[in-house]
Amino acid sequence: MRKLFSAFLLAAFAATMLTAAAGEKLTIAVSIRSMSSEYHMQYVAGAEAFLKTLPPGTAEIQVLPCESNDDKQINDIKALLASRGKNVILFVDPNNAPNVTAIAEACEDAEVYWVNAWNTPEGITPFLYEYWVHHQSCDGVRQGYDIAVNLFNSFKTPGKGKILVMEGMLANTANADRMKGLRQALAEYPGIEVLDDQAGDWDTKKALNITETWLARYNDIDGIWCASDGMALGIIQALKAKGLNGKVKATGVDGVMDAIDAVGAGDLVCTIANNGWMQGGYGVAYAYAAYTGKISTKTMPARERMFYTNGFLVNAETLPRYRKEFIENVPVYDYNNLEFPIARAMEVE
Amino acid sequence: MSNPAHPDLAASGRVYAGERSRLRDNISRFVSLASIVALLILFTAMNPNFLGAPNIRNLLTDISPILAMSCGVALVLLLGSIDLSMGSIASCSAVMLTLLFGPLGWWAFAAVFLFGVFAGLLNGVLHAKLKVPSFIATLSTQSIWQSAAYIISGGQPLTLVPGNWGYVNWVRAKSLGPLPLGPVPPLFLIALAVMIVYHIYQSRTGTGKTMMALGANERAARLIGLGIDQAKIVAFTLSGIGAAIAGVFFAVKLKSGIPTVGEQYNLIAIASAALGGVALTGGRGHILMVILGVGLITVIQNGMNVVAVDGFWQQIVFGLLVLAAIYMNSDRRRRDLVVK
Repeated sequence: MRKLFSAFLLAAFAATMLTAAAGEKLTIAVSIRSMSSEYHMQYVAGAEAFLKTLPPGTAEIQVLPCESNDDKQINDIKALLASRGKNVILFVDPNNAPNVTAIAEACEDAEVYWVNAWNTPEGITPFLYEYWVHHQSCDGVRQGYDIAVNLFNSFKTPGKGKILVMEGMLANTANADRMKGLRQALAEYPGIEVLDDQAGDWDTKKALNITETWLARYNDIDGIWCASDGMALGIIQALKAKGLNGKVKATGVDGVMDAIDAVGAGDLVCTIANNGWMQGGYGVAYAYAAYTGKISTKTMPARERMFYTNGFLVNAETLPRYRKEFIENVPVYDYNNLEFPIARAMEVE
Repeated sequence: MSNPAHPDLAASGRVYAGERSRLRDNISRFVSLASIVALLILFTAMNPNFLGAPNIRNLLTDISPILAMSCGVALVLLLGSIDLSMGSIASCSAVMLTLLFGPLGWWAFAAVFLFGVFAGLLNGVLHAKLKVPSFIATLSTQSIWQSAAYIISGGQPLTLVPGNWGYVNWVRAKSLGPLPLGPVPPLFLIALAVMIVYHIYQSRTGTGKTMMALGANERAARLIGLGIDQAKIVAFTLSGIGAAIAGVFFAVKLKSGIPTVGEQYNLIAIASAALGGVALTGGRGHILMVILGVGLITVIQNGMNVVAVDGFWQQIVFGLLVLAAIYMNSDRRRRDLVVK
């Protein structure tokens, strides 16, 4: 029995050996929350698409899943930096915003170029560091505005109707941005009346409960503006229970597969896919350009160091194109055009 | 059992059994150490940077919070009890420290230490005085401290503002006054001090020895009049302090108070103590050996990234290595062995 376990041990070592790095290749590391996340694996696919544009055998991808463990994310990155020296570039979706400081310091010490998506603490920006190439995030204001306009135009009388608003977490930046976009759209559509506004806290079940209460209270709802797909799926369940799915229009944001399918089924007017392929692919393209000296963080324009990216609006009209480009195939981008992912620059206070 | 017809034989039998037990313990320690050495050699052969100064510093930094937690929980495990609240106490401590730097400055560390004492004491009193099973008592306090961490932080991860970085920058110190530390981080020195203090307490004081005795046989320990309740309360209090120290380590390392940061370390700390030879059934183990268990787990986790094991395979390889290490460390030759 002990021999059997020793054999297991040897097999594990062999697997380790087989997957181990060989030679002096550049390591393109992608630090994500979890490999079970469809969206986070899009980052990896994007980085792999970029890898294919490099000469064969010169670089390899290493994925660092932290499984929602902040300390593990930092430990894994530090271990990687210690083992590869400067021969590494890094794309990070920080598990929580505060991780950014520790990662920035580790990369600065190791002189390793890196980029991040979504999270950064207030007041901590790439301008404070030489090796932090850029910070990117989806344009939440634009997302909130686009789904609102799509929703309003889907009513029997386009631009006229009564809506309910399902927010995410009140203190959350993404929610605040999406709400700002909604308010911009409401200002442009005076025929839209907001009946109620509730916080679903990004939670499917809470959104379902709130919607059930709304459906008992209001009988003239035209649509529900919802700030995320997770909550939208709860809304759809509540509408289905009353036979109102497709009749009461609803929206989402994030582009998870269930929401994409709901758009196809007519239960959801639209969602916005955040396009992790583009974020991951261009993220490592920027870090690689800094690594090879093609760009310099000292001379880069500010708009390239902190910018918003556009998502892909998925509605009944664009769904076939989305399926073809993003589900049946991995999207192809020109990574020499580093301007492409920039929707607009972030304002820095 | 003594044999009155052959007293010499009986005596020699006892001596033999004692020697065998010592030999078994020594072999177990040797295998733990040998496992670590084998892994160090393997990972270094695959990537020479593995044992470079930067990665040694990483390894020792990674070991530190788990070691502080594991030493505490090892005392509880010696009782034959369990502490499931350590991760939440660590999370709460990290959040409290981040918030308290503003109003208290350096005294924030003392405040968090006192919180650890209180949280551990609460577990001990619930278990020893109110007779709540440790599993239930600490499961309940786990929920309480986790919720407290969320409430205190407002459900958001808290970033330490740059104005307060002065309180945590010592974590990156490369020397202790005129004494260069080389690749040894200050966090590791503190964790090491915790381990030594806990070891001395457990092995040299009456209360410490009672922990071992009641883990081996609580009924017998009670009959001979040992201070059972006191030993239980002290063990849980020391576990709470270890968890609070781990929380401080997380906060100063990440420069933030994340309300979930300790969540995943409960089982890792318990597994590390078990790998270090502390019996989950109580009454057997050695605090100083816990560092071997912590070291083994950390070396495996760190090494897999250093040698670039595919992310999909990491959990499988980790599970297999831990299983193999546990199997090789444990002694199954005893005839009275019961596995539950």
